[in-house]
Amino acid sequence: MATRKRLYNVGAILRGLSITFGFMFRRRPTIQYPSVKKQHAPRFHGLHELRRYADGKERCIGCELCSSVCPANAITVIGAENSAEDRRSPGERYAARYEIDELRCIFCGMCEEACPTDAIVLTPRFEMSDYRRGSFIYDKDRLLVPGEAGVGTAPDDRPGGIPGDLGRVASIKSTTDIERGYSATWRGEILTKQRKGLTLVKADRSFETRPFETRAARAPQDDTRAPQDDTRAPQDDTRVPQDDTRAPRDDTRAPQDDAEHD
Amino acid sequence: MPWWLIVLIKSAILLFVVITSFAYAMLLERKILGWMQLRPGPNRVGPWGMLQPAADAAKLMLKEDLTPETADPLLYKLAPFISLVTAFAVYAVIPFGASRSGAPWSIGNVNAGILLILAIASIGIYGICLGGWASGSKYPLLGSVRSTAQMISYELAMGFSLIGVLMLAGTTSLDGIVSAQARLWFFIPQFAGFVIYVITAVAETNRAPFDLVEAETELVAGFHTEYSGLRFGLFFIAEYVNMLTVSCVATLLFFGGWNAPFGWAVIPGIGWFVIKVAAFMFFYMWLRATLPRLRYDRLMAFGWKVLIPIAMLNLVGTAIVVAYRG
Repeated sequence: MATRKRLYNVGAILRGLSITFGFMFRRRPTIQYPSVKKQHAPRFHGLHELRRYADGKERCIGCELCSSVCPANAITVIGAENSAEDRRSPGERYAARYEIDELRCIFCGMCEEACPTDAIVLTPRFEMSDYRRGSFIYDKDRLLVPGEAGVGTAPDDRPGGIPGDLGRVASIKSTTDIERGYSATWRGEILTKQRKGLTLVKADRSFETRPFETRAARAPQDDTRAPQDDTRAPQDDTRVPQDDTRAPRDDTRAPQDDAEHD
Repeated sequence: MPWWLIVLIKSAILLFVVITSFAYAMLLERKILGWMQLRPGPNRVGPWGMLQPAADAAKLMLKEDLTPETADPLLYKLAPFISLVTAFAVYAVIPFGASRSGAPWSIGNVNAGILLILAIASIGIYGICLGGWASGSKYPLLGSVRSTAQMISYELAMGFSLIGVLMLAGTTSLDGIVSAQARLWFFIPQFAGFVIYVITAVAETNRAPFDLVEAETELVAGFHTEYSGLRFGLFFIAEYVNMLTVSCVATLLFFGGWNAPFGWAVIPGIGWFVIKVAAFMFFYMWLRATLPRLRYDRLMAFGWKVLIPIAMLNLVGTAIVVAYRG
């Protein structure tokens, strides 16, 4: 009789039917990904970026600390000496080659922690898919922030705290919330509806290449930008290049977001 | 116009309508299954996914048509066509409405329409049986053996459940049955018959929860495991066209066909017919989203020990009532 009871339990079938019918009208949690994107966590670890100083010089001094600390052996650095005619970085050396195999990388961020000049940082970009494995080896051309795009974002400019859930970044109100430091990774408008602290961004196809505006850039001491003020720049930053005598156009603007670290 | 030309034109229109409704029934099924599982369903091809059927058809046509080495080539290639042709042939006698004078809108007005439908539908099973057997592979064979057993068991109960309606209407012609329901639709006096018909119809079309023939958790894909490309597509079309057929039969025999309920003649008869068929189609999709597949022995036990006895009791009861009333 037991099996009979289970097999012919019409009430259970009707109950099941009512459940599935009700589900038809529930809100579906799907996010229409390519056209609508979810806000990432503030400290999301994505594709790397090699930063510059504001004068356009590379921050990387070719010390290879990132490559030695990398647990996945994903980073290759080959340093070279700077020369007076071709000065790439403020220090003695610069990275002649800098390659990261993004397929090996585990995005742990230890390179970022190891870097003495804050040259290598992890951006929140994650859309790196490609058709060839070879194209995942990012060389310097692709890692280095293009000169016209600014300096890149300092890691400390990201807001602190790790949210428990990628989807619930309640502290960030919008992707262009510059006060919080890390700015939008994609261009697009914020959708008006917000679901339970989950910000949705209506994205267009292009990726944001505009330089990230940072807290430091907006801070009052930002007037290092003041033209031709050769004397005051280096005094609050020991790491600034000391060979300013050559002074190409706007060397003095150099360490604007380093000011914060001291 | 010569009679054959009229038949040809009618057939062409009907073929177009049935294939279109197959295509969108499939899209709707995927949408509804999606909604019931909190997904949006296909929505990438065209607005609201409306071009999905076209994309599916193009994909199936471009796929390679494989024939396994161990297959019986003739039967293997013939089987999908048996399924498809019989699935479409049924529409020759199904009426979709009636003119004011009472002439049914169908290609051929046969006075034993329901018998013809049952006869053709039972030939359609050969498509599945032969397809599975001719594949020369173990899973399709198991699928087709199951289908044979399932069809025999459930066709009996289905036949019994329909006889009650035929006795009440006193005719086997489909438009005669519909006009006999002008006042009272037969699903009320024949409620047991109606329930049994709906259950057996799900089993006859191999739909969940009776889709043991293609039970993917045990049999890979059952009878059509070895089929690919367009030949698989033909089986696929046949399955949905059969769903449409059993929905049409349920509408004609139990839900008054093109008769408007409560005299609501605002929508023309054919509109009511389409609405009722669509409601049955929705019910099939709803069932699929809800119920898990039956175990094989329980399927058999349910067919023989529950459905057939109830159908026979219903038959005897109806016969007594009809005889008593004269």
